[in-house]
Amino acid sequence: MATILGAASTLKELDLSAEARLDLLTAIEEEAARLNVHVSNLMQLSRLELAAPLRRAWVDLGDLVTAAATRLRRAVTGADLRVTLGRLPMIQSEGGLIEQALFNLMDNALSHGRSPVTITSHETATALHLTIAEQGPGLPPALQDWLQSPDLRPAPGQSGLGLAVAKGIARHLGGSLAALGNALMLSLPK
Amino acid sequence: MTKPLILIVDDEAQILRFLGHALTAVGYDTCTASTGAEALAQVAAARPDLMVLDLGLPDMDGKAVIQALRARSDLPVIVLSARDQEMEKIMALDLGADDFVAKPFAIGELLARLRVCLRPSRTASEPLLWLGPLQIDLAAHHVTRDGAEIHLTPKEFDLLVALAETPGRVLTHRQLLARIWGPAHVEDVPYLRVFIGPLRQKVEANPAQPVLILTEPGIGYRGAHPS
Repeated sequence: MATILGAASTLKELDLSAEARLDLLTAIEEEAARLNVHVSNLMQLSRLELAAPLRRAWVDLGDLVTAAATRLRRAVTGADLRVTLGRLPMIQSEGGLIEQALFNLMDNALSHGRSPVTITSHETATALHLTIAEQGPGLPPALQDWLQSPDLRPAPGQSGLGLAVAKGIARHLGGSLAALGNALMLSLPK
Repeated sequence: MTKPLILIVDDEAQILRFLGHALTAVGYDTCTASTGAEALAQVAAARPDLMVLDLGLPDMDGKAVIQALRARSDLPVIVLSARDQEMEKIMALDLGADDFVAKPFAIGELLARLRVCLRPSRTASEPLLWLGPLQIDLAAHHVTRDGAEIHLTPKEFDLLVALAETPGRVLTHRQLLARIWGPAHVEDVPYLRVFIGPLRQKVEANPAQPVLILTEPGIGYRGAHPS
């Protein structure tokens, strides 16, 4: 917010070179995009707390991974995301929520872990699983317990809301979020 | 030539403000409304060429505006809706909106949709359709790419024609299913996906990264934007 207000007032009040103006406008755009992610997560948290009823429709997880990765590549310059998905059946779920959970998990892996971040999939008898892995040491042990609990407060040691929202969404959709070494696995019922 | 007149309907004054500047800058005339009732009155009074409609209006549901409008006009409508509100978008499209842009959006995205929706629609007498490099001969049921024939099944052909008839414009799963498989099949979305895969294999240069048949996740498909 400070960046946006500061940059906007600078643009309005000072005589800048074309290059400097473009740079400040880019800063406003990037900061607003970051703020938008944060606000979306805040709004999602309140919806999850209210346990709003699901609006199920047919969803293709492959499409949602692509959508989240595309959005993240736009938001984070140089994001190294490697998607390798098998062919998964469609499920009846809420696509917008899944996309937001995936975006948060990839965003989290990129900012707290080491690149590249890989996204893979597999299928079991009752569920579809998407695994988001980074190359670092993985999640601290305190997070493991937190993942098991329905607690929607931010994960221990994390300032962002992304992981809490991803966990809340997974549970809201009847699935789960689990830590496996340096990876998080989002599982959704078929 | 007169400039196309765009009616912008949104209850957020700041959105009206920035869209007014942006659309004027690229050569459109604009008028605005901040409620559904006002929007419908403006359609009659100002006779706009296109409506940009936010779905979250204070007085009436944006979908009701589309319904009321469609009862008497085929004015192109582009709806603005939150990214995660797929149901809202699908319902608006199935009620007759022409396309959507998810908020927040970059202006280039809205301008591209505007251009597509303002283009005169194809006349039924044209015997040939194009989708990117694909040439579709409607009478002969024949598709070629750079002169080479591509063999499609009748359903694949119908699907391709549907997308090529309104290039750059989204078609919902329901619209495609109703048109090609009939009204009894409008819920069979997985069925549609089964046909899109092989069709992409046949027509796309790189089926893993399609550029002719684009996916709108959870909503439907879009034929390539005419360049």
